[in-house]
Amino acid sequence: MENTKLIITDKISTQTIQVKKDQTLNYVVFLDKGWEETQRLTFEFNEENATVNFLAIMIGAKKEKFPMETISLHKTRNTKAYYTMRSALFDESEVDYTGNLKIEKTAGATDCYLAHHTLMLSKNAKTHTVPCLEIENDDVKAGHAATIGNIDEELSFYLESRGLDKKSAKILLIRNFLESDLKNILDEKDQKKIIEKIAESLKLIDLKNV
Amino acid sequence: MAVPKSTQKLIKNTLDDYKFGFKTKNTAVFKTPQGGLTREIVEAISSRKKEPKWMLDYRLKALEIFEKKAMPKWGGDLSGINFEKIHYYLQPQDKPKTDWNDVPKDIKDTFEKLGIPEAERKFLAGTGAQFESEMVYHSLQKELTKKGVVFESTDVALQKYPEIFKEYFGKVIPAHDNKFSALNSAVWSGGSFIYVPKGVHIELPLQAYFRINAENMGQFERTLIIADEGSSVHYVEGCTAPTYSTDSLHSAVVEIIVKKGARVQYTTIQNWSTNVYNLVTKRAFAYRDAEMFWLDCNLGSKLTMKYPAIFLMEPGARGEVQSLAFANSNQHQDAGAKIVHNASNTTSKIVAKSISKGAGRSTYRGLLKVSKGAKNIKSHVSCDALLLDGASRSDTYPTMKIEESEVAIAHEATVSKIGEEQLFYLMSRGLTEEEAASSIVNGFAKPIIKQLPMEYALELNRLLELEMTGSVG
Repeated sequence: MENTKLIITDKISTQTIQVKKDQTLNYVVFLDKGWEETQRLTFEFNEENATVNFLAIMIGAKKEKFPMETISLHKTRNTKAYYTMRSALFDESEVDYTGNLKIEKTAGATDCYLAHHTLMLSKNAKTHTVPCLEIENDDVKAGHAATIGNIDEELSFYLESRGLDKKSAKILLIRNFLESDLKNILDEKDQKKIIEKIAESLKLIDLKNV
Repeated sequence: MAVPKSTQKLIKNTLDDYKFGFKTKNTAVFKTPQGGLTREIVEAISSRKKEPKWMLDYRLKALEIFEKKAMPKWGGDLSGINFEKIHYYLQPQDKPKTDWNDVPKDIKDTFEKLGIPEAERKFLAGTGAQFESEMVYHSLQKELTKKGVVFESTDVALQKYPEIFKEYFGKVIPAHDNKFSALNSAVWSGGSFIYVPKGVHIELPLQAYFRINAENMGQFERTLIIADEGSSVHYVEGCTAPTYSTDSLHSAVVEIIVKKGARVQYTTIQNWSTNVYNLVTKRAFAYRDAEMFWLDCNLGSKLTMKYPAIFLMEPGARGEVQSLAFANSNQHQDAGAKIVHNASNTTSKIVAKSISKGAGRSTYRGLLKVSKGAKNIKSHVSCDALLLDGASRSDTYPTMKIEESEVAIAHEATVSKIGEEQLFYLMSRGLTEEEAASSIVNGFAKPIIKQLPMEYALELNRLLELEMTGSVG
C-alpha cells in the first residue's frame, strides 16, 4: 500500500530524512526570512519504491540571505525525487543554493529531476545556484534545470492593456510565478494556505523599485 | 529489457584501440635533467632560448608562485603527478623550419604518420608542428604573410616582435592564476603566436599539432592569439602521444584577445594517450561586438582538467563554448566552460556533451557569471551526458553567479543511457542492434561534430563509430 506524507514548513534546517519504503513524501517549504549559516537538507533513499516531491518557495527582501543545500541520496532501486525551487528576490536579498542529485551504483531505475527558477526583481539581488548531478549508474533518468530572469515585459504590457495598473500587473505575475507548482503537490485547502502566505509576504515588500 | 549483452560487449570494444601510440626514436639536442624543477632549470631554458631579461624575470617570478601554490583539491585525482620525474624542457632540433624537407627525418616521419603535411597541402592556411618542447615546423601561406598576418612559434615571436609580445603576454592569464598556469609561465616553450591585422579574414584554418614523444615528458606550450579589429581566424589544434607506462604532463596556457568586431574560433581535438595528464588553462577576452568560439573535443588523456573561458569585456560581445568529452576506461574528463559577462548587451551559449563508458568518468564543471552593472544579458547552458554502461560515472557541477536583474539565463542538464525504446525502434526499422547503438551514439555527438571542419569531422566520426566487424560472438 502506498502512503503519502505531507510536511509543510517555513524553515530549512540541516537534517537527514530517511524516505520509507512505498512512501510518497511531499515536502513544501515556504521561506521569507533569511538566515546566516548554510542549511543542508538530505533526503536519503535506502528503501525501494519511495518518492519525494520537494517544493521550496522563497521570497527574499531587504538584506535577507538564503544559504542552503539539498541533497538527494539514492542508494537503492526504484526511487523517485523531484525538486523544485522558486525564488523571487527583491532589494539586496541573496540566494545561495546547491542542489545535488547523487545516484549510487546500487540505485538502478532512479528517476530524479531538480529545477531552480529565480526571478530577479532588483538590480542589487544576487543568485548563486549550483545544481549538481553525480551519477554512477546508467539505469537512471536524471536532469536539472535553472532559469534566472526578470518579469517578462510583454506579459506585463499585456496585463496593463487589459486594464491593470503597473503594480498590480507585476504582483500578479510574481504570484503566478511562485504559485505555479503548488497544484502538483497540494490539495486545494493546502494550496490556499500557501497562497495566503505568499500574498501576505508580498504585501510587506516595497515594490517601488521593481 | 536490458541492453543486450552483445551490445554491451560491442560498446566495450569500441575505442579501446589507440592508433597514435607509436614511438619515434629521437635524440634530443638538449634536455633538462629529472629531479624536480629548480631555478637552474628555468635559467637554462631561458638562456638556451636567448631571451630578454624581462622574460627570465617573469619566469623566475612564476616559479616562485608555482612553488607557493598548493595543488588543487577539487576536480580529478592529481596524486599521480610526480614533479621530480618530469623533463621540463626537451629540444629536439636546433630551430624551427619552414620547409618539411629541413625537418629531421625521424620527426618528419612522425608527422607524416599523423597526416600533418598532407593536411597542410589540402586544406590549411598555415601549419605548426610541435615535437616535445619546440615547434619544429611553422609555415604560413604567402598571401597571408603579405597581408601582415603573423603565425610563428611563440619563441620566434618573442625575438621578432618584442613590443607587441610584451604588450599582450600574460595579460589574459597571469602567472598567479593557478598552480599550472604558474608552472607554464616558468617553463613555457613552443606554442603558436598569431596576429591577424585589422580587417583581415583568414578563410582556411590555421593548425598546430602537438606531439609528445619522450617518456616522462612535460610539454608546456604557450599560445597567444591576437585578432585585431574586424578580423577573423580559425585555429585548430590536435594532440597525440605514445603510450608509456609512466605518466607525462601537458600543461598549456592559451591566451586570446578578440578585438572590436573580430571573430576567433579555437578548435581542439585532444587525443593524448592515456598516460598523459592534461591540465590546461585557456581564456579569451572578447571586446565590443567581438565573437569568441571554443570548440573543444576531449577524447584522450588520463585526466583532463580544462575549462575554456570567455570574458565578455565590452557591449555586444558574444561567447560560445561547445564541447564533447569521451571518457573510457581509466580516464577522467573533467571539462567544462567559464563565461563571465562583464559588460551589458552580451550573450553566451554553452553546449556540453559527454559520453562515459567502461568505468570512465566524465565531469562537466562550469561557471556562468554576470557581474554587477552588466545589463541585458542572455545566456543558455545545456549539458547532456550519455552513460554507456553501469560502471561509468557522470557528474555535472554548473555554477551560476548572477548579480544583476536584467538577465535571461537558462540552464539544463540531462543524463541518460541508450534507450531500449530507441534501440527497439531502430531495430524494427531493419538496423542490426550494433548499427542502432552506433547511430544513437553518433546522433548524440553530432551537434558538436558538425561544427568541425569536414576533414576533422570525418576523423572524429570514425573514432566514435561503433564498428561491428568481429565484435559479435
